[in-house]
Amino acid sequence: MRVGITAFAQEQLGDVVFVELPKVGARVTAHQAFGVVESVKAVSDLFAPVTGEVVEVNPELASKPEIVNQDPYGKGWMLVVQPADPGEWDGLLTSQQYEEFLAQDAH
Amino acid sequence: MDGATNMAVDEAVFRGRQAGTSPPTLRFFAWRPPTVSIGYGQPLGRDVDVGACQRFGVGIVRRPTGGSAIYHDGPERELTYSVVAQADDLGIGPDLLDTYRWIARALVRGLRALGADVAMVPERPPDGPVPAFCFARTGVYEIEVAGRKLVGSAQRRQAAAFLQHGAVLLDVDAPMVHAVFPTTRDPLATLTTLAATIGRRPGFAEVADALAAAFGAEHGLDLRPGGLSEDESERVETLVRERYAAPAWLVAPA
Repeated sequence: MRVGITAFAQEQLGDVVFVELPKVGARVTAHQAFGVVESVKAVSDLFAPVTGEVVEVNPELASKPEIVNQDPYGKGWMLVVQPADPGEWDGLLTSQQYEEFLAQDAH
Repeated sequence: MDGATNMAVDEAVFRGRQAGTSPPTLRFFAWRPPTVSIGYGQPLGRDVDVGACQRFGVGIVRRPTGGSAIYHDGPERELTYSVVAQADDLGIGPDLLDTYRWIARALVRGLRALGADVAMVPERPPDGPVPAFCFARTGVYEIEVAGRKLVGSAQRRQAAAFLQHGAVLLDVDAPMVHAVFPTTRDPLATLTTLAATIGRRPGFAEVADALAAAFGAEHGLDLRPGGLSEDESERVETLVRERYAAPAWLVAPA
């Protein structure tokens, strides 16, 4: 599973200047912090959507953190996680479902 | 308190608020010895003259918050505030800029009560790369006087909980600022101080009192003086030892 932040989150944060991520082989836990993203406005903890092992880390982000803003669902990915329990997928939203959720929340 | 302890206290209260064991907290503090604080991900050696800091007895600490470096002089020339809360505590949403604005409204009121004609920086698109020195640029909802920055603020978030702290310049030691930030061509050109704005240098306690009163009046808060809880004090000790006073943390966060 590819892990990153949403378009909404990168917009809230503003220009991302620094991303701190775990190393390959590290374990992340659902709903727990696994790293940190720093923007011009705030430093914010990153939360894991599922529990599992980190099998890949985006090597581009160390030198080009701004791609998180430019392409949050594409080139701005952060980790690839091998989920321990594939059933955890079911609790997640698609980007479209998330946008609908945000739209409801705003009213 | 020194830089490591100050940053550990701010983070301890922040972690306590997330856990629900600490109340929403407004804190005013000073730095002894004077200290350069750098942003969470800011490279240490690039923007700050570490050798000059050592020669002048200036401490250095990496903050839990983002942004650029600040020279925090002693209590005669600087006051730092910090606010820890959950967005719900403030009766506003978790939107990042809403929390900045909530705090800025109180700061503006307090600084105006001291006689400073301050304004909140309006929303506008960002302009160019992030500078090395915090007071080199004003962000949205920061506090300025005639376009020059008076208060520099930074924030840490975890979901809806946040820590925001910021330096209020009472006065400035110009040669020292030049010495510790050699890569910033004219660090004084973009900042101002309360002394320059109101024609006298106000005392630390006077500014703290004015700002506390303004937070209370602007937001209808009932502020109660208090110290650290036992739980917070324990977190502070651990955070100083394992993080803010640790050489590895100063080199790079992890």
